[in-house]
Amino acid sequence: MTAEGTAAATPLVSVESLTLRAGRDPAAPVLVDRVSLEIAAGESVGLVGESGCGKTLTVLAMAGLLPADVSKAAESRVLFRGRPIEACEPSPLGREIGFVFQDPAGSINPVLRVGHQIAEVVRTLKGTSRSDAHARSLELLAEVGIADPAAKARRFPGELSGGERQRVGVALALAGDPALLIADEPTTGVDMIVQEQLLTLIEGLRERRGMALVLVSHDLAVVAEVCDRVEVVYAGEIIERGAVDRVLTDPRHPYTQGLIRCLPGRAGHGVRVAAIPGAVPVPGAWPPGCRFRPRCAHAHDRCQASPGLLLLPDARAARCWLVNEGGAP
Amino acid sequence: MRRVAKGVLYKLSLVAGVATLLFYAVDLMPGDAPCFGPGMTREVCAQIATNRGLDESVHARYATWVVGALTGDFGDSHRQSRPVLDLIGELLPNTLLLSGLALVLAFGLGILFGVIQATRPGWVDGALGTVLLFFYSMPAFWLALMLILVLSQGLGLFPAAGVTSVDYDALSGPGRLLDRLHHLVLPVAALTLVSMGGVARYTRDSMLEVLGLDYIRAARARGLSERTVVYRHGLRSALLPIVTQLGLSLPFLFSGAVLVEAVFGWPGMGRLMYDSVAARDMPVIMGTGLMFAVIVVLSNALADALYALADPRVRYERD
Repeated sequence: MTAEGTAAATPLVSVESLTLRAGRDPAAPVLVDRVSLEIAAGESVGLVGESGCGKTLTVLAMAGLLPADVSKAAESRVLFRGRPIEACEPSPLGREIGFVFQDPAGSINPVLRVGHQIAEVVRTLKGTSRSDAHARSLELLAEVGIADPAAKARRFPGELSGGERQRVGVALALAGDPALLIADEPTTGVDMIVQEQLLTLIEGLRERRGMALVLVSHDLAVVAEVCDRVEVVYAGEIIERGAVDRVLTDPRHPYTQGLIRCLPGRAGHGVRVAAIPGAVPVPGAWPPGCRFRPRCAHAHDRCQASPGLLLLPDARAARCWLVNEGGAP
Repeated sequence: MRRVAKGVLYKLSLVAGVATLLFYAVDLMPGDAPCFGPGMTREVCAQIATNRGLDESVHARYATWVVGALTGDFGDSHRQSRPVLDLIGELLPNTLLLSGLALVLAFGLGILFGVIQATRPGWVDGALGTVLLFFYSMPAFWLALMLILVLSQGLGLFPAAGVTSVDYDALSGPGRLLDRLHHLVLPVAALTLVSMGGVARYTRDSMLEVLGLDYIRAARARGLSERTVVYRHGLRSALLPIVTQLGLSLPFLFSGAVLVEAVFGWPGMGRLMYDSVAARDMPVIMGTGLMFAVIVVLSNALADALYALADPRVRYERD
């Protein structure tokens, strides 16, 4: 789909018509609906949307980490370097795909020292000796900006601050020197200053290591800061995509426009931040046609049928009838 | 430091409380033990009672006992006319051996079976669970009788009672060891079979809970092998509650299983307690009772310490 002239190169990850259901039953509610996207080597892509829209499930499917109670439709394909991810041997998890989880407190073993946990992953993935793995774990801790790595390596996760824990989470994801880093809401539960530091860290790591990055966030501002490209997700569908600066300055979907109006920076001091009226419909209760229709100020009779994802110049796309008429007002 | 001192004081008062309660409770028991058998005339009984200080008030006897206990003198057994400490010293090794082996095997096998159940859902889990529950549901003494009936009386594989054979003294060194082990098989088997089901169940549930946690999924996502994830991450966390369980089971090492020791004619602490209560042998009841109180309190402290050793969160969250 990307018309950037590198069509010949196999994308790192391509997701083709990904449909996920809450259960094995084909009639079970759809959680993610025919999502297709590609991640090229070295690029950074943001997945933005409100909670419950399917962002996290999409990236879990990308890494082959779907929970057991979510099923993938038969026609859906997730290819890693052109091969189905389930068929990759050895599994690209850790080696090629590093995953930073939303909740560092819950995703790091609380009863093992952090240095030990990093060294364990290094040893498994790189086959290095115990002492080399230990040395490497200290390097990784330093790389993610932890001061005094030798001392912190001996700590248990609970003895670290929230920000430090997430830095350890990043170090664990980097232990196999992956080509792709997936970060699912990595700044949940930390204050604004720490969030800023973590984002700067992730951005810097991506540049230095030349990794691709997929960043999931409900906050368009976060994605705008770190990513080159953005995919806006709403009710299980991608509703807009394009280069971050273009989407920010010239959003084509009314939902994206709403998200941008909601950014606190846009409102002046003392001005109430705008909000999109209503809430994201839950899976199983999506309206037919355009799913944003009930909340959209521009809704029209025509919106009872879905417009599909309409392709625009400069590798952009939007799921709205209005784009054909020169964009939404 | 203050916290430690407070803890020690609390534990000491607990032991003192148990001893006091036990003394007065035993005093309330009906029956004057020595007054049966041939030649036990009224006069002899009265003389015995006087010798034992029974004509004094219960408070006076209690005070005498406390003073003695504080100086390490627990008195002589009425029944055997030997110091209580000698009796305990003679019988405790037998109980430690039997209960210790049973405890190690019950926890070792229980944890092993629990892990197998948790990692192999389906028929393996179901079949193991059924067999373990079968033994878990049996009274230990009844299982002991069945083992004797089948393996000892029926097939003649193992001796039915005692610690050693009659010809023990004539045996060589290795022969003596084998003879002792031979006598241990049935009582250890009875105790182990009955108690390992509980440990297995506990391990299985704890393991299943831990394996569903986020950090286990995350460990897989980082590329760790299934083996590392299950055993190094899963089992380690899953064993934390088992450690507490183990600590709380330690008093069993010293108390022994009263009924199983009785069935196998095993000269141990369980039998000593049983006989001393039946004979109203006050010094023995108090001596063993106090020992158990101390051991239960120490085991609890040890369970806490073991837990803190195994779970770092307890250590730093207390500071």
